[in-house]
Amino acid sequence: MGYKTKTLMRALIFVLILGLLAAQSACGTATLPPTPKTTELVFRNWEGDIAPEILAAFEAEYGIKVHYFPYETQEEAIDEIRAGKVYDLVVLENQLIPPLVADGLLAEIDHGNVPNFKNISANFRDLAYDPHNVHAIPYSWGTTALVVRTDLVEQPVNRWADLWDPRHAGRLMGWPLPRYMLGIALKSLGFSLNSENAQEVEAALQKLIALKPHITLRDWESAVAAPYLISGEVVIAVGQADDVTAGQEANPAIQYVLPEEGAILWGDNFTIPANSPNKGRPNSSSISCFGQRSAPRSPTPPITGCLTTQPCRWSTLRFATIRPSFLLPTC
Amino acid sequence: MTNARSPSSPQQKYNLRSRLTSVLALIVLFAGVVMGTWIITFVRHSEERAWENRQQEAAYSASLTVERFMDQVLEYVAVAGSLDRTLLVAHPQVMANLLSQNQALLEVIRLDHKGAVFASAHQGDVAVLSNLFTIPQSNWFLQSLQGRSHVGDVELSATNEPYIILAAPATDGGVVAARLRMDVLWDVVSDIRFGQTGQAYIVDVHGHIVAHADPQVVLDNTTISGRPEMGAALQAPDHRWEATYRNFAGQKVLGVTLPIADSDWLIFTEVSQAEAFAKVNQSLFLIGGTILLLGTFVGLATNLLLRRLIFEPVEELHDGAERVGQGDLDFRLQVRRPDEIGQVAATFNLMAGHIKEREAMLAQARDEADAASRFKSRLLANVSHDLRTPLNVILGYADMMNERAFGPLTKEQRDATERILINTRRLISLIGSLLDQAQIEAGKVELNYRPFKPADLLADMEKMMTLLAQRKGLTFTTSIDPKLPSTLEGDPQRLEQILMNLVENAIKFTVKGSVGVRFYLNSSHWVMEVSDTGPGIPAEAQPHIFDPFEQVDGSLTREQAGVGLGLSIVQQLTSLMRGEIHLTSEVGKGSTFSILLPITPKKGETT
Repeated sequence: MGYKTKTLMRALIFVLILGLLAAQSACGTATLPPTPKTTELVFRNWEGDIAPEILAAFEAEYGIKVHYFPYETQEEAIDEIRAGKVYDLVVLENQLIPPLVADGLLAEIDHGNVPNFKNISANFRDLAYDPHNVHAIPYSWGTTALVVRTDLVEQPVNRWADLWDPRHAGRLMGWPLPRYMLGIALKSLGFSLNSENAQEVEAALQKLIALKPHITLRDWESAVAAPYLISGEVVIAVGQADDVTAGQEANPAIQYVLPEEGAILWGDNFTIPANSPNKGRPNSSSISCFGQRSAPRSPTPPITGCLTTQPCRWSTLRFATIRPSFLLPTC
Repeated sequence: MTNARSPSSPQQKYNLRSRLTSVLALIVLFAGVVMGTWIITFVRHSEERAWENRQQEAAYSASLTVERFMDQVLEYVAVAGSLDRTLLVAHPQVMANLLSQNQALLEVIRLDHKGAVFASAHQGDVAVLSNLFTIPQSNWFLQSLQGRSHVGDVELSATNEPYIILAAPATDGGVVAARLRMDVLWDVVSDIRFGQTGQAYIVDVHGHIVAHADPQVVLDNTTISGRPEMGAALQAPDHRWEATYRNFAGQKVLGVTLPIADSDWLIFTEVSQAEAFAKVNQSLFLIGGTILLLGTFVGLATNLLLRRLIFEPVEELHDGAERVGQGDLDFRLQVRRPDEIGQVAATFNLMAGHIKEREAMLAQARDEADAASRFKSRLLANVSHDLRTPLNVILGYADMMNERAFGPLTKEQRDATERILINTRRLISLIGSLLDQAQIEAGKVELNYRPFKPADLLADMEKMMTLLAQRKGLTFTTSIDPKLPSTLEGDPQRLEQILMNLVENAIKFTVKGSVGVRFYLNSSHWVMEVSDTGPGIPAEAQPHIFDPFEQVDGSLTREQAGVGLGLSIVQQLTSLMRGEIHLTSEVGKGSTFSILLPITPKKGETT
């Protein structure tokens, strides 16, 4: 009987092996290639525009070293990107994004890696500069308006056009940023900030040239105008909320004025350059997600002097002193 | 023969049988597996087709459902966009009333061409659209201004209500915008079910999941971008695509996609591969089982057939050959079949017949030879006896004459009687040897075992032989191993006969030098060793020296007295005692005979 069982066993094993082989070939194997681990990210942003504790928390959570590499102007970073320099994450303003997208220099963002995107206000989603937020994650926003020594001007200043008032000539301060100064001129003429009409732009340009002798241009940095306003050297400055908060501590007469023609609304975005070796990897986009997250145990907003694009956190910001109703829409 | 057969032959037979059986079974199994694989591939292919068709249908009806739903909503938005501005401004509740009729919408607003809101209404949620401060830069607004309606991405309101912004051109050159409740769309999608696991969901062209039966999937901002194989659907022409893959949730599915008309959406319908290929798996088991059963059946059937047709007859043949081989010459196989095995059996029977005839002839010849041998032995015994009687008389009278019983003898007379005496004695001894040989051959020798002292035996031997050796000028030496037991069991008379024969032979053939006898203990035997310095025995003659009537060569025979029976008797006595005899000899140097005897011979076995 032994030989018979042996024969049967052999046959059985043979069938099993063949069966397994058949099953193997039928099902195929589905293994995903392992994702190489990112260990470093190069992050370009304004100096001091992200709270250090946020970066520290990110590094601790993901085990990735972040090289925070500040730029003086965003144009500087863009020139470098166009020259082929490699960065993983670059904060860029809204209007700078479409040309880069058109030239294929920005990577599409994997929204699966940015779960906090859902917290971003409808105000910043799907805007003209980046339909469907394919290439940019809105990060911070704010207004550019006038910062005025209300005690040193004869009449209340409430228009961009007041910059051209001869009584203020020589006591003005602006930014050496053509896009802003041209926008201001366009607005003062009653045109759209984003006008593409050649005649309008030409008119604004002439107006700016006329203003040039009467205004001092200072490279942008946080609260650059505050000392001049405090000293009274400057009575009207093109500025932002940080100029006001810095100036008001010394002199409550320093006020933020949203011009009647309409203030400039600016927005900064996280973008991932197309040449980043880490694009598309969860860790690369995660930092932009991380930036959208409040730092744990810290009431400090991630960006000093700016507003986040997440409406639910607006109430926690320290802009209480300058809270014009439209700046902080109901949440 | 009897015990050599049983272990070897069945194993050979079974080896052959199992080999044949496995080879056949393997062939059948291989064919079965090849066919089974083919069938399964076919079943899988057709099942896949069937499911794809089923999913195509489901996807098609789902896309129609979604399309119709979206059409209705957009139509409703278009109605809101056609209302007169002055009416809306004058009667704000008109918009609210309109909205309350459509539960799918959360909010409706009308804007002028600059993006300023002049009429709005919302329900069940906070107002979102009317509070936006980026409207002029919003995609939905700009797109609608250019005359195209817009369907936005899924967003969450501050109260976590998911919605989609819909916008369309208004009749007055402005824009109408609304927020669509997602749960309504999600309900539409989650109602799409087919099979057990079949489900559908909507993905936009960017890979974002817009609607899914599990709302959390959408709320978590899930995309299919983590699954490159699914991304192929986004690239597929017209978004028509089908494949098996792991979906974003990691499930193995069979998926089909279709575009949703007039939108940036496509619908995925998926069914788990486990369900889609359930029949394939069933048939895999079925076919696998069948193959297994078939293989087993073929194996068993082959086994049975081989046994019936070949191995049993072969075994019968084998047994027959064995019986015949053991002497049952009358045994005949039954020739039942006319096939090859039957022919072998018939041939075997024929052969057995021949063997029987030959055996009969042989037996007759043997009987005749036996009779002749017996006759010879009887003759020998009788003749010897009859010869010995007159010889003893001759010896007696010659002795009496030599002892001067009949008066004094002259020197010549004395010499004559001496010669008569010597030759008579030799003749008597010769006859004794012949008698011994005859008795041994006739099987009439019986050993008389009893305890004896080997030292005594050796001493007797020395007493008898020293003189004989000295007469030829030879030295005769004896030695005994002190380890040898002082008393042994044996037949001392026969042992003495053996020794006498060997020593006499040695003295007879040795011209100069010595003859020695040594008793010693071997591992399992005690040994009587007789050595000489004689001429030695050539190697070619050694095998024959124990044959009766054989001597080394003719010259010696002539020179030395004897008929060549001594060694034959020695050998036969030794084997009667269950001993062995060994010879080492070299021509010109001498010979040594060793008789190895068991230390305790078993009584009763000496026949």
